[in-house]
Amino acid sequence: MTLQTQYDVVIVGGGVAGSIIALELGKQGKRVLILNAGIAVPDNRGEYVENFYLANAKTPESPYPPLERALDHPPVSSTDPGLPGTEATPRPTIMGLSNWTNASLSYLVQPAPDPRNAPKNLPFSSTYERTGGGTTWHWLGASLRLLPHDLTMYSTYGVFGKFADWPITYEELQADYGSAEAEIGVSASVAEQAPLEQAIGLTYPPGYQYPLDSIPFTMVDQVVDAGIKGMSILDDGKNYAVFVSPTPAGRNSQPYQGRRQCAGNTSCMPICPIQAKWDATVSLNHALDTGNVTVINQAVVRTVQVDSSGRISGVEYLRWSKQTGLDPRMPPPPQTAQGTMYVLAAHAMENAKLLLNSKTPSLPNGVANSSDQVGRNLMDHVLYLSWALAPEGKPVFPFRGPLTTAGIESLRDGDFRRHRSAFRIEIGNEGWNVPVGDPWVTVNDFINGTNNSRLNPMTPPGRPLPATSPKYGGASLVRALNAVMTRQFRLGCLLEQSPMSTNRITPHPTLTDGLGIPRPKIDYSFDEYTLNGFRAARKTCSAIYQHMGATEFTDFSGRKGQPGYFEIDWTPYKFFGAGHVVGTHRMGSDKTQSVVDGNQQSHDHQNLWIVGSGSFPTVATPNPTLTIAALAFRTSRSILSALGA
Amino acid sequence: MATVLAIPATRAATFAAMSAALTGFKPDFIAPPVDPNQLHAHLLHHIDELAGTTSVDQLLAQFTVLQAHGQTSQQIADVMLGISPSSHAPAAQLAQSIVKLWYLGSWYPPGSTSAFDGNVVSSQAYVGGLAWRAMQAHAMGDSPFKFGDWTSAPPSLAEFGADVPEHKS
Ligand SMILES: Cc1cc2nc3c(=O)[nH]c(=O)nc-3n(C[C@H](O)[C@H](O)[C@H](O)COP(=O)(O)OP(=O)(O)OC[C@H]3O[C@@H](n4cnc5c(N)ncnc54)[C@H](O)[C@@H]3O)c2cc1C
Repeated sequence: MTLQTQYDVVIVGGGVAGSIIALELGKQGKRVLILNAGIAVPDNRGEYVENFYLANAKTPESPYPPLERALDHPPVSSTDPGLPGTEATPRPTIMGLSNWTNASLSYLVQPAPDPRNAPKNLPFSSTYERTGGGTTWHWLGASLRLLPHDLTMYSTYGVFGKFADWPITYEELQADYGSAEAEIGVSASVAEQAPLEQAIGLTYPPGYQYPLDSIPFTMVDQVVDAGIKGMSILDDGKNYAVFVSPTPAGRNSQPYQGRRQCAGNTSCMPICPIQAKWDATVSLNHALDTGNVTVINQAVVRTVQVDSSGRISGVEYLRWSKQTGLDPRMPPPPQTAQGTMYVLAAHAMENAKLLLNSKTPSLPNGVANSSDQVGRNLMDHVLYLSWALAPEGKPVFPFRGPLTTAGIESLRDGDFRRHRSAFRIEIGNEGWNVPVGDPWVTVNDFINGTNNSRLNPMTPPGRPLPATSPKYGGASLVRALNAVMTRQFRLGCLLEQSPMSTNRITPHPTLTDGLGIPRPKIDYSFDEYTLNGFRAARKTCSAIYQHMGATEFTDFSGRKGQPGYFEIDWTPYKFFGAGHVVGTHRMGSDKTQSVVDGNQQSHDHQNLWIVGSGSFPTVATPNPTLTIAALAFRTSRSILSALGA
Repeated sequence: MATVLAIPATRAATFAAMSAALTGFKPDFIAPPVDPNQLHAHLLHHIDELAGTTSVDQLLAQFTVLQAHGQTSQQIADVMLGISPSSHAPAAQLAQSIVKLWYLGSWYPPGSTSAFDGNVVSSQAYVGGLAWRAMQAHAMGDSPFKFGDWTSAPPSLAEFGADVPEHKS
């Protein structure tokens, strides 16, 4: 069946990229159709918030459908949630990651680790959502710009020819960054970012102001800031200043566009209960308000169709009514949507899967893939986490305020990028929640008389754990917990990963979702460049703790077998995913080496744009969404001009 | 500083008084005089279902006896939770599960030693978790505070309801 309406533009996916493009086109009177795999955006977020409260494992996916079951309760029947082979819109989850080599529990099909050749076959560790509004439901809101050198990694730093330059410059992106910051409502101050100009080359157009004032520092930020005053690190004979900067954030420091001011709920991930944090549903609503945008929900696009002239002629999609317990051999009948122009905005991973799943005899590599680059160069910000207790007498009172409000950005660029990843350091405001599982772990320790957190009694790594641990109850429990928990904090280094053509997503030849659509098969490893980054991240964080008199507790020695565990130089490490999936349809000016051009327009098919962080040739260090949004503005102009507007 | 406990009239009131001693929070915080939420009654209802009223009644009886012997809240907590003298008796394990429920809003089967064994009993129990108050914070996702409050020290532990001497920390 083919939809009767002929649209100007058909967009696959209504997340950040899809919603902003729909808004820009709708404003110009273009008729736009969005196909969204998941359920519609709910009228109110109360049910999702309730799901989060009730979840045992408070993972990013915990509020969102299809609901995942707890990590410790594997599914027992085929209708149970958490079985990606029988769901309409399965997606990568933390539960799946904990079982990453088990394809009946993990949506991403990932090979078992290769113990002889570590760190090969690492688990790709990032997740995303496939529900109305997309992944920004649970983004953190960090809204940093790329640096000028991030777009010229090849020409500036060379790096064995691995890196590619972007076909656009930072200067060309400046105005679109401004539009993105206005749409998202970014809270930051140009004056406060000014020290980063000298340190890492961050600039703004003269007179530019962010739309909202910056978010004030938490007590964690204040203690780190004061503790590292004057600090610098030496790398390859050069000194680099280390200092704290407020993080530009997609959360409201004052009411903005009908949404409230942040109340510090400390649950930005997985859900802001009051929507003080922007998410793509905001822009999706703005798009619908134009009156020119239609959304079809529960519509999973399976293939992109190409006519004999090489133009995209339609997208084929499956409409589902039941989320779980599906039989992949009996998919619903396919339907086709048609438009003059097409945009794939289904997320970096799904975009690549979709293109590669659209193979025909005349396009044996799939759609838009004459370069053979679709699905390759899969990257993430690999996250190195470390944790510590603030100096005694200087409690930082975590778990109040946004999850993060500041970071160390001054190390995001430098000559060291010739041989190792740069990183930004995010200062966390949720104690040891992520690295240790607190407050659950420490509370249990103090009641049970166990010592999984090493706080009962306080035993920094390297020292032997005492044979017994005390038990507490009553007022002594309160005091014992208060003494340590109010000093907890963590640093997270977001490392840039070097592009590797062997790191890739391909549609699995046999394993499918509940609609019979292939699931992503992943090949993923780190090379020496990224491993060098880990070494530097570890050294830098330890130096920071030492400089500020904090007691470091980072220790991965007991975590062998957990996802993301690996060793370098016989030292145990563990990485976490950041949710920043990059590189799978990279842009470039050379058609043989890239999939799209600087407007995210396919080199191969004139009426196709492939958008989102999959277009980034380098992951660099800033969280990607602001750049996704900026590029969406740029792409909208390109589509409008192709439509002859 | 132990708070003197009044002799409670009903089973729920006894449970509240016992909970105050075991958790280290003040009785009038655990069961405020005017209390639309009735969190203690709500939790008792869940505990009765999960552990059986007989075991709960035995625990309440133990508490009443200790209280009648003039034990302080801390002494009562230490005995009932098997801290002194050290014990893994079923009653002490149930008492520990009750403290975990108050602190985390999750039910851990008595005797459990894993932090990942718990099941959230209700959203009310999660957001009311005392662990957050013990760190002078709030449950993730349920802030009673307003923009910018995070820039300075929170109210004191006592103001958060803990049964500890009143001073700014
Ligand atoms: C835990 C976490 C925290 C994050 N924090 C930050 C942060 O602080 N800062 C930052 O910059 N970024 C952050 N990110 C990344 C950010 O969420 C993504 O960059 C962003 O959501 C990507 O936007 P998108 O529009 O490309 O895809 P998405 O937001 O994922 O939207 C994709 C859309 O496509 C739809 N779709 C998928 N498949 C199909 C199909 N086959 N057919 C039809 N529709 C389909 C989905 O339903 C969805 O509507 C975070 C990510 C995670 C996981």
